[in-house]
Amino acid sequence: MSPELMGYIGFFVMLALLAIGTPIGFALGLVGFVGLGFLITWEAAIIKVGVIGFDIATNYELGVLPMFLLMAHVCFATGASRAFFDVAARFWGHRRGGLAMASVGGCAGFGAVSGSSLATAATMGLVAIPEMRKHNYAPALAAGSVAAGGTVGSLIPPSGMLIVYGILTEQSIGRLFAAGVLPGLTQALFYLFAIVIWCGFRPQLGPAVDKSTWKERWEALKKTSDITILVIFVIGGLLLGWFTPTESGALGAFGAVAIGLVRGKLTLSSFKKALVDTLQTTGMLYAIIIGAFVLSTFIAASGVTDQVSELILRGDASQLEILIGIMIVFFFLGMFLDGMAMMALTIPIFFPIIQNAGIHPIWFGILLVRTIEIAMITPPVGMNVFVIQGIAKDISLRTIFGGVMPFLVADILHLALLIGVPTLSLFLPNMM
Amino acid sequence: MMEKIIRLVEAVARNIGAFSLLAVMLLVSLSVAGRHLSIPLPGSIEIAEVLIALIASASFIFATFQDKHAIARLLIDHVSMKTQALLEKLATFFSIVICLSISYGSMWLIIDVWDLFEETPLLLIPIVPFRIIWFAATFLGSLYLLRVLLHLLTGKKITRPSASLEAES
Repeated sequence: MSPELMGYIGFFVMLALLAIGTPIGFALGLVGFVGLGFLITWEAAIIKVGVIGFDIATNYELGVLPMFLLMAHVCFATGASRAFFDVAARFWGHRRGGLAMASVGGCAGFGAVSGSSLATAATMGLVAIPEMRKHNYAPALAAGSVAAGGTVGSLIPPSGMLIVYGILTEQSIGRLFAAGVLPGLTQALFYLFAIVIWCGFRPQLGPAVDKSTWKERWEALKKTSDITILVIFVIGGLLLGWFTPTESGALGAFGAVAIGLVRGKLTLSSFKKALVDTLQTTGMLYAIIIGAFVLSTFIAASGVTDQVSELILRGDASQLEILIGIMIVFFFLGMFLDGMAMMALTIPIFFPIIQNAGIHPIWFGILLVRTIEIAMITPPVGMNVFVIQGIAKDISLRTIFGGVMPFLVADILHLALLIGVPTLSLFLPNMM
Repeated sequence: MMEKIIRLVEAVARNIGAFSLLAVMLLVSLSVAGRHLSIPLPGSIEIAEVLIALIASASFIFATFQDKHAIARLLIDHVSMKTQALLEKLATFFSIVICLSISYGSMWLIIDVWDLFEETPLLLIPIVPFRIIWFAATFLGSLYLLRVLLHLLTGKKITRPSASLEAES
């Protein structure tokens, strides 16, 4: 059997392992290990997995992951989501669909500390959906805006997805964070336009609420000022080269703990919970990263990516065609797999291809995360939609998917913009 | 007896992991402050590196014992309970195979580098103890998964440490 054929078989075995519920990291690692065993020798495969495991476990650069996770979990404990929603609601609530806009704005603000789409949708949903329903918002708009809004958090730094992408592809996490800023902000703007247009046609969906006074707005703004300053300091310092990503994460976690203590919101039990949650997520991500590295060693040794690259180059496909082809694969995979699985599964295969095609890896990272996040609200999996349904149990899945549709249209237009205008992603990293 | 051992291991992993998280946070923050105030902390990266190894090891045990590893729910939600039970056994078996492979590979390397007395360059912190901790983490993870598989095969109820912790709190 040729090595390439083994690579293709490995890919299908891996899909089968994922389908039967094998944990993602273990499925990737197992296929990589067995593949290496057949390709080289079992002895070498055993040593390789041992080397990869310990190298990753002691990698200083990987410290960025637990540090930013700790920052996020401490911020959850201090009730930051409510504060971010309140600010946006005070400024936009009096407009038609204003509370839905506030949900998107709150998600963008909270996304800057959470770094996770699911976590942003879940925490913002608890705050924003009851508020919108209290003011007679249509369930579809209320649930749809939060489910979609949650995905804004994945591009605005610090983004968990971009960190994992940076680790798996050995790209600068600082440059990836810089690249995520403008696409994240423009995504939020696209969502706001979607709400304006939707409520313009059907004003009854999101009735305006009483206008807040400037004093109320100022009060609300003050409540988020400390966390906003922390995020600007941590991310700004990273972009300006004052700190490395790990240092930035450590300072962010330290600052979040300090803010929690000063606010009096961080109790011993909530702090313990933040630490335990950080450990759980860290362990899960370490398993995925180790698995992905073992798999990528196998894929590289099998020569599959070289073969596919050659085929693509021989077919004279342009960068745009390659990108669109990959995005279509992601849309398809996104119907069945969750984001992290997609990333870990596809990077070992697609990354060498895009490198051979001369596509900028930072730009590709942004497009990849953006597409994965679109899958988070696309049927039939749409993880964010399920999370929102778990919070608002009386709103049917059908209604939420219906509510997400205008945002999905905005997403596709936004993705087209990101593909058509690479500068949007590359302007800030090129300044570094 | 076995329950007690599992809960003890999990508590040790949780405490070591939490301590290491806080230690890295403080150490790295101090090191950044020191660098900008011209009071450098030499070797802080080396200490952070070994603490990160503790975080990785502890969090691996913790996530495994609490069944927190991410899975893709491609098929399992759409099949009968009987098929689900069968798939769970298979998935657990495959998880054990890869955990044991990593564990075996780590042990192999420990034996291989034992006589080299690996140390960090500046503070001369020996590396082997951390290799042993990482090996222990993956091996304990494998043993725990093996126990889960045995329970699944014999139809015994699985009491996860997380469940007992929640019950406690």
